[in-house]
Amino acid sequence: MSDAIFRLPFRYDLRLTTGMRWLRQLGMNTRASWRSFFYVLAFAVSVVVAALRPAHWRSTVRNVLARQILFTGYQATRFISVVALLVGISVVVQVQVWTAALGQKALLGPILVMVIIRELGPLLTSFIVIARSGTAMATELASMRVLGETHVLDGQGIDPFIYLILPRAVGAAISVFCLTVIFIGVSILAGFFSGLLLGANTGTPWQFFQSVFGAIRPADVFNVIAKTWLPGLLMGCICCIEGLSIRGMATEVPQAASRAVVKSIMAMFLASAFVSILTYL
Amino acid sequence: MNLDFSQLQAPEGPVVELTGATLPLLPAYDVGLESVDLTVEKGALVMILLEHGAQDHPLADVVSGLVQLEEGRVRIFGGEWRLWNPDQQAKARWRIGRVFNGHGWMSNLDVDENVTLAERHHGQRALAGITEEMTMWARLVGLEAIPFTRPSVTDREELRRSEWVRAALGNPWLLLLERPGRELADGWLSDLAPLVHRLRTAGAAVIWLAESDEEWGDDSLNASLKLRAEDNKLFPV
Repeated sequence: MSDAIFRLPFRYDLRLTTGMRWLRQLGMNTRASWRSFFYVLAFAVSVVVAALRPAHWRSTVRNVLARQILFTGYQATRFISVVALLVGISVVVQVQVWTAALGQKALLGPILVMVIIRELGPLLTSFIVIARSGTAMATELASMRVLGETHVLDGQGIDPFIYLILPRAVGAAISVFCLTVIFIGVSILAGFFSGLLLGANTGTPWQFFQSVFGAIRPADVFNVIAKTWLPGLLMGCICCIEGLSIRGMATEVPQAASRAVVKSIMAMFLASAFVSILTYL
Repeated sequence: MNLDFSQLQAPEGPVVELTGATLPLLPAYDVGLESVDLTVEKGALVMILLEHGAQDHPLADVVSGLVQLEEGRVRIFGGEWRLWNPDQQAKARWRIGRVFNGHGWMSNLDVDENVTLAERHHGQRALAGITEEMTMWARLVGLEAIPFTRPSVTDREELRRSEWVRAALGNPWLLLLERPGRELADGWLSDLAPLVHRLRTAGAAVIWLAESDEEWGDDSLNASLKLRAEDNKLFPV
């Protein structure tokens, strides 16, 4: 349906009741949201397709990828580990204590897998990466627009999509995956050792780790991979889109960063819910 | 047309041909273009004096195919931007050495990384060869070495000369110099002239957008054509 139908002439606008105007606004907002959603999706697909072409991975692009992983992944490991440690202590200890108290120690593994591996690990990691690197990415690219650096790239025959966006989006996805693996490992280890120190009935290390890893099914592995790569990629794409979409005024930079974070968080929850439905329904 | 962009010289024929180039005034520029005709041959230097107060001229972007003309045609290296695919367009822009009018640097790369970026991105040469050539050009324009610092903390004089080196790196077929001496102290012209001469001798065409009468009128550059930009047009002098 054409957009023109929704852009009513002014005289029509006057005839609309408040309710109808509200309804029209709701419809327009919904259509805009869907357009934005499909645009991000198409953009992410373009990134994946471009990433599959070896010719795009020139040394300069690989260099940007390495820097992105260094910043988003490596430099975040300490912070992620601390958060994972605290989550491990609070969640795993409680699960251990209550399953032991109820005499359901056999449920320890499945509950941990469900809470830490399926949900908390990927979600918290994505959340931290969005807050830490998403804002930085959007701000950096928006500043590049303000300074005309994308024009300089274009002028030298360097496609900003290949040089700026591709390595950032892929780097973000790789980083989220690796950080999630670290998060899961640290939180489960922290939970076991803190449970041991607090005198919770954890059993032997062998029993503990067997109950956890024994409860992991192939679907859980798929779940972790999908729930890290997908939000990571979407976050990278959204932050690049928002950063590069400004018209060139410095005042737009913080607005772009803010929009990038809000949209990335929304995309993260949507992707997470979608993968959960796909995996476990 | 299939061009081999790895060749040392541009194909035979004019390097740039503008025919009736017309462009309205866009927000990024101070002026537009109105029926501009310009032909630049291999080894030629076209010197254009910019109108006072109209330093943001669209000519370099039009020649680079970054702005689409409203009317007229632009041919470069014997081909047309609109007929090339994105890969060919990228390769063609690689063969244009350019001193940008605005902030011409990637802030998150050191100056030396900036200078070699296009060559590393497009070319097949080893980094050692690129660095060697970079050092040669740097010495020619009066630099000890290209700075290994971020552009934001680099001396303005060194930055501008590094920009000349970037434009000269990798045997460009066309050199676009947009106000190459802005913000520089007197005497810079004699440092840039040898670089321009050497590239012209190697077959590169040069379009020089000058902002002062001194650089525009300098006879040591031996310009093939001198033009004056006025009222969206180019007038021969």
